[in-house]
Amino acid sequence: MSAVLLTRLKITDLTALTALEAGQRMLPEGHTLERVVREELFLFEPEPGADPASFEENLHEAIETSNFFVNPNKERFRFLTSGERGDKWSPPEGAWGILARSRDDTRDEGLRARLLREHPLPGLAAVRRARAWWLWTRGPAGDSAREVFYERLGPLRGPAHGLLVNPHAEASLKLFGDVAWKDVERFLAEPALQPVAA
Amino acid sequence: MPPTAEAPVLPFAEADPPALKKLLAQEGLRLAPGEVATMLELLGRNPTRVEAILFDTMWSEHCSYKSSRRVLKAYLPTESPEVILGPGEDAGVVRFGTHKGVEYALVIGHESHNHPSQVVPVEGAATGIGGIVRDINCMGAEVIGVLDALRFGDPEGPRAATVREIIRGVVDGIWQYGDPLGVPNLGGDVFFSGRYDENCLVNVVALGIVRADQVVRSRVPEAAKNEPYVMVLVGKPTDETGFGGASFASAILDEEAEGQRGHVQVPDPFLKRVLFEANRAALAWLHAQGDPFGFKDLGAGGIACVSSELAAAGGFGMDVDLDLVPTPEGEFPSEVLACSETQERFAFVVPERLAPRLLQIYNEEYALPLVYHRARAAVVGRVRTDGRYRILRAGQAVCDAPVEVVTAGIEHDRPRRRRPAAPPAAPLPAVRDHDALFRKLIASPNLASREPIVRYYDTEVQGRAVLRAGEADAGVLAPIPGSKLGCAITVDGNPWYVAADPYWGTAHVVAESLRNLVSVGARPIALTDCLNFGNPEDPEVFDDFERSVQGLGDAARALGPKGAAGPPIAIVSGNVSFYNESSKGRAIEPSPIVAALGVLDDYSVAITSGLKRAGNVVVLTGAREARLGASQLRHALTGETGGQLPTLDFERERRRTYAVLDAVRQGFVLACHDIAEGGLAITAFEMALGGFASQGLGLQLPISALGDTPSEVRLYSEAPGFLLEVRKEFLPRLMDLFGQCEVDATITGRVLEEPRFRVLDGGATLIDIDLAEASRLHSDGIRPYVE
Amino acid sequence: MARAAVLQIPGVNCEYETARALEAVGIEARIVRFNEPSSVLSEFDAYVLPGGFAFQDRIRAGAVAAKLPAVERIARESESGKPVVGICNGAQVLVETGIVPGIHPGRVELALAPNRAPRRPGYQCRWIHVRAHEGPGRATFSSTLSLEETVPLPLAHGEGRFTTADPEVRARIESEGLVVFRYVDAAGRPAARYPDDPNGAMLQAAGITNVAGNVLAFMPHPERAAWLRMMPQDWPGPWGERRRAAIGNIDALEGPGPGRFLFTSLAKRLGVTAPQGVAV
Repeated sequence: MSAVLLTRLKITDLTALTALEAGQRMLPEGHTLERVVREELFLFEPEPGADPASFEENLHEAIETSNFFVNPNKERFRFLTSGERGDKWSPPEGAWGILARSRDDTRDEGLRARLLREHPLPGLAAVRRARAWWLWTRGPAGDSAREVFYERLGPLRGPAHGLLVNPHAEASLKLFGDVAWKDVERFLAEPALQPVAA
Repeated sequence: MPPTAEAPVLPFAEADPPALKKLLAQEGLRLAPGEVATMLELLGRNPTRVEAILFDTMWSEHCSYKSSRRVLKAYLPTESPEVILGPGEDAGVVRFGTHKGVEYALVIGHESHNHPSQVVPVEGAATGIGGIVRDINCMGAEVIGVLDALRFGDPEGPRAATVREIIRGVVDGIWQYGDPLGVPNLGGDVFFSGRYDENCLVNVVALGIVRADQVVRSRVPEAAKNEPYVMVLVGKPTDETGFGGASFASAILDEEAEGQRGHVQVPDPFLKRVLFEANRAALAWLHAQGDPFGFKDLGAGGIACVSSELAAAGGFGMDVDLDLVPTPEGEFPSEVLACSETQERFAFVVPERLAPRLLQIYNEEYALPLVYHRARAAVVGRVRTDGRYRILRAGQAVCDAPVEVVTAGIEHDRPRRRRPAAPPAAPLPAVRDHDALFRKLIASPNLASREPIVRYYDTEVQGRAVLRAGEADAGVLAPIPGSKLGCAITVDGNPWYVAADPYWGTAHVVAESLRNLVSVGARPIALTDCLNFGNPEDPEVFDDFERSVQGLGDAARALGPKGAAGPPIAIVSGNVSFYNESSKGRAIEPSPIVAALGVLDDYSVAITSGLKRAGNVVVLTGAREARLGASQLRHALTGETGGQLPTLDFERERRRTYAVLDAVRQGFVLACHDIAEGGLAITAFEMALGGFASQGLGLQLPISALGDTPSEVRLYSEAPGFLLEVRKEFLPRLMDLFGQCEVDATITGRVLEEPRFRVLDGGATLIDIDLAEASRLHSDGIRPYVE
Repeated sequence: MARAAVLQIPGVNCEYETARALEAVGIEARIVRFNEPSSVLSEFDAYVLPGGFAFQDRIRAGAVAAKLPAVERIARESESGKPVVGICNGAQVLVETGIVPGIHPGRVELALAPNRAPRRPGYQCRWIHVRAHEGPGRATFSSTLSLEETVPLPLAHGEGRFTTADPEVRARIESEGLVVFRYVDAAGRPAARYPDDPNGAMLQAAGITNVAGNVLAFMPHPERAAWLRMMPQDWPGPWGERRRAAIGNIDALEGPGPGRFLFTSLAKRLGVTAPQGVAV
C-alpha cells in the first residue's frame, strides 16, 4: 500500500496549453478538446512488510515544508496516506485520463536519496513517478467520445494518430473511470514493459 | 478627476497618518508617507488607483534608483571614446569595429533577479534571463550571449536543504530559459556564503551585437511632431501574472513571501524565441523604410511604464487605450492591464501608416496567435504632441497627468555611518599537511569545478564560440561570421573581499575582471555593474554602498590603458538591488558584481588557461604577499572571512595587466590564467586540469624562489597576478617586454608530460597528486548540491 | 546550384548557423518559415530540420512539431530520395513522424527518450566523439569522412536516447546498417560508459537513417563544429592539435572543423562543386 502525492501547477501550465492547442488540431470534425490538465503522480512504496504509517507523517511534513515536491508559490498538491487514499483513484469531475510512465524503471532514486538526507523516512523503499493527463472532451453527440479522443491523442502510432505518449519510451494506462490503486501500483512497478501492439 | 467605476480615486489627501498607512497596506502599495505627499503635490489632487500604482512602481527602488542615483553619479565614469550610449537606456552600447565597411556596436546589460529567485527559483532565475535579453534586443541588437553571477547560501550550513533546492532551481531556471532561447552561456561565477542563506543573488549579464547605425532608441522620435505615431504592443497577452513585480523586487524578503504568489511571473522562452525572430524581421523592415521609430521592452510597471517613458524620453505625451490591449479570456481590472509585469512583451512607436504591415509581420508571418493563445501585436496607444499622458478604459481616463509628472522620479539622500572597524584577524594556524589541505580546498564549494553547473548550459548555440565558459578566464566570441573581430566577456565578484573592505574589495573585483579579459588577449573597453546590498535605510549598509561605488569608480579610472590620466574603462550599464537581507534583518555581504567587456582585433590570438605542451615553462607575475584577509585559505583554516586584503597598487596592476595583454597578443604565451580566489596553487592546478578538456599534461611547481614566507602564504595568497605558460624560445622576449613595462616575472614551473600536479618547496614535496584523481575531487565538490 | 531548405519551426534556434554551414560548402540555403505555403518546399533539393526546442519540447521533444503540414510535406518529398537531415531537435521531429527508420512506413518505430546518465539525468551540453559506419546512409551523409576517423562534436540535448519497444525494429536497424554514426571514446572504440556514451542510446547510436538512407536523424551538432575556430582548444587528439597549431592563424581558424564532413558529404551527394575559395 503506497502513499500517494499528486501535484499540479497553479500558474499557467504552458505544456498543457500546447497540448490543448496541438490536440485540437488533430481531431475529427465535431470533436472538442475543452481542457487539459497535467498532474504528476508520486507513489511512496514501503519496503516489503513495512507499514507505510512509519514514514507517512514525516513525509507529509517534508512535502509541506520543503521544496522537494512542490513550491507552494506555483504548485498545489494532494497528499494521501495509504489509509486516506481508499481503494480507487477517481478522475476529476467530467474528465478522463491517460497515465504515462517511462518504460524504464519508474523509481526516482536521486529524489529519494535527497529526501532521505534531510528527512528520516523509515521503511520507504522507493519513490515512483508517472504523469497523468486529464482531458475534458466532447464529441458530436455531446458525450465524452473518449475512444475517439484516445485514438487520436493517446499513444503515438503514426503521424496522424497519437500525441501524448510515445510507446517506445513510455507505457500508458487508460484512466477512463475509477481505477484501483493496486492496478496503478502494479503498472508502475512492472520492471520492463513489453512493447505495445501497434 | 471624478471617481468612476473604471477610475476609483484613492483618498490619500484626507487620510491621517494611521489611515494613510492602512490605505497603503490595503492597496498593496509600498510608497512611503513622504512619497505620497510628493505625489499629491505633483498631481495637485488625489490619484486614481492606476496612478497610485504607477507612481508606486516608478518610485520603487528598482525603477527609480532613488537611494543610489546621487552616489552613482558622483563616482562612476560613464564616458570614454569607446562609448556610444552610456547608462540611461535599457542597455549600454559601445564601439566594436568595422567589417566590410559596416561599423558594429556591442550592447551590454546587467540585471539582478534576486528576490523572485529566492521565492520561486526556477521561474525567478528564468525571468531574470528573460528580462535582460529583452533589454538588449530592444536596442535593436541580436542577443549573442548571457552570463550569470550566482550567490548561494552555505550548502552544508543550517539551511542546507533550502539552499540546495534553490541552487537546483536557479540552475534549472537558467538552462530551461536560456537554452531554448538559443543564446549561448558565456560564463559566470558562483560564490557560496552563509549570509546568502535566506537571500540568494541571481545576476545576469547579456551581450548583443548591432550595426552602429541601427541602434534603436527607447523614445518617441522627433518625427512624431509631423505625422501621427502610434504605440504597437507586441507579445504575450496581458494578464495578472507578475502584477506588483517591481515593488516586490525592492521588498525585503519575509515569511509572507508565500502570500506573494500572485506576483509570480511565468516566463516563456519559446514565445520569446519566436518574438526574437519576428523582431528581427520587423526591425529589418522598419530600418528599410527609413522612418524613425522607437522600441522598448516591457518590464516593471508594464504598459504604463513603457508608454510614459517612451513618450517622456521624446518630449511627447500619449493616449493608451486599455480596451485595445490583448488579454486572455476574462475580465481584468484597469490597474492590472496598465501595470502588470506580464513577460514576453515589447512596444514600438511607429508612424501610423506603418502599423498595419508591422502587425502583419507578427500576427501572420510569425503567427503569434498560433504560437501562444491570444498572443499578438496590436495598436494600443497614440502619441500626443501636447505632453499629456492618459490611460483610457471604456472611454474614461484612469490616469491623466502631464507626462513629466508621471516620470518625474524621486531621490533620497540616505544617511551613512562607518561600520566599527573589525578586530584584527587572528593569526592563522600553521599548516602541517599540505597535501590534505590542497585536497580539501580543491573540493571546497568556492574553489570546486563549476562543471556540474555549466554542463546544463548551451555554450555552443549560434556557432559563434571561440572560447567558452570554463575553457578560459573569459568567454570569447566571433560575433560576425567571416570577420576576425572577437569580443570577450567575464563577470566577477568576491563578497568576502567587499565585506572586509568595501572600497578596496570592489577595486579588486574590477582589477580581476580586467585580468580575466587580458588573459584571453582582449583589450578592455567597458564595464557594467550590479550592486547588491542590504537595506539602504541602514546607515552602515549605505556607507558600504557608497565606499564600494567609490572603489568601483576609482578602479575603472585608474585601470584604463593610460591610467587615471587617460580615458577610463567606462561603466556603461548597471543595476542596483537593495533590501537583500534575511527575515531577521541581517544583510547579505555587500556584493557588487562587475562584468567586463573586451575586444580582440583578431580573435585567433585568444588562448585558454589550459597547459599546451610538455617542457614549456610557467612564469609568475605578481609577488605573493602575506596578507591573507578574506582568502579561501583563511576560511578553510579558521571558518572566518575577515582580515587585511592583499595590496592593490593601481599603477602596478595597470602596468602588469597591459603587459600581459601585449604578451598574449604577440603570441609569447600559450596559456594564461589570472590569480584570484585560492591563489597560486589553485590557479596552477586549474591550468594543469585544463578546465574544459584535458590533454593529460601535468605541472611541477617549485615555490622556493617566491620569498621566505610560509609555504601556505606563497601557495594561497590571493595577491593579484598571473600565471603564464611560455615556450622556452619566447622566454627572453617575454622577459624583455615585462622589463620594459617594469613588471616582475619569475619562472615558477614546468609543464610535465605525465598528468601529475606537484608542488616543491626546497627539498620537500608539499603536494603530489594524480590529476585524474584530483579532477574527480574537484568536479565532485559541488555536484551533490546541483544534481 | 543545389538548394536546401532549413525549416524554421517555432522554437528552433540553430537555423542560422546551420544555413551558414550549408553555404560554406556551396549549397544555397534558405530559412523557410513553417507556415509558408507548403508548395514552396518542393522547390528544394534537400531539407534540414535544425536544432532547438520546437514548441519548447512540450509534451515531448518533437511531438508537436511532427504534426505540422510543413513536416508532412518534407516527409513526402523524402520519398523521392531527396536528402533530409534532422539535427538534434530536428532528429526528434523526424523520429516522431516515423520517417526514421521507416521500416514499416506510416508507423512510429522509435523514440528519443530522456538521456540515461548517472546521477541526475536531463539536459547536457558537452563534446563527445562519433565514428561513421557503413550503411545505406553513407553515400549521402559521410562519404567525405573516413570510417577510421574519430570525430569530436558537440551535443546538447535532454532527450537523445534512441530506443524502441519493438525488438524486430531494433534487429533490422542493426542488420541493415541504419546506425550510420555511433558514439565512441577518444580512441575510437565503441563508447562503453558515460560520458563517452552520453545518453544510453541503443547500439550507441548517434545517428540513424531510414531504410533508403536518404533521411538522417542525428543528435550531435555538426554545424557547431563546422569551422576549426569552434573546436575546444585543449581537446586531446588530432583535431585538438590542429586547433592549438592554429592559435594566431586566422585563416586556419576560419577553415573547416570536424563537423564539416556532413555538409561536404551532402554537397557531394547533391553534385555541388566547391565554390571558389571554399575548402570543402
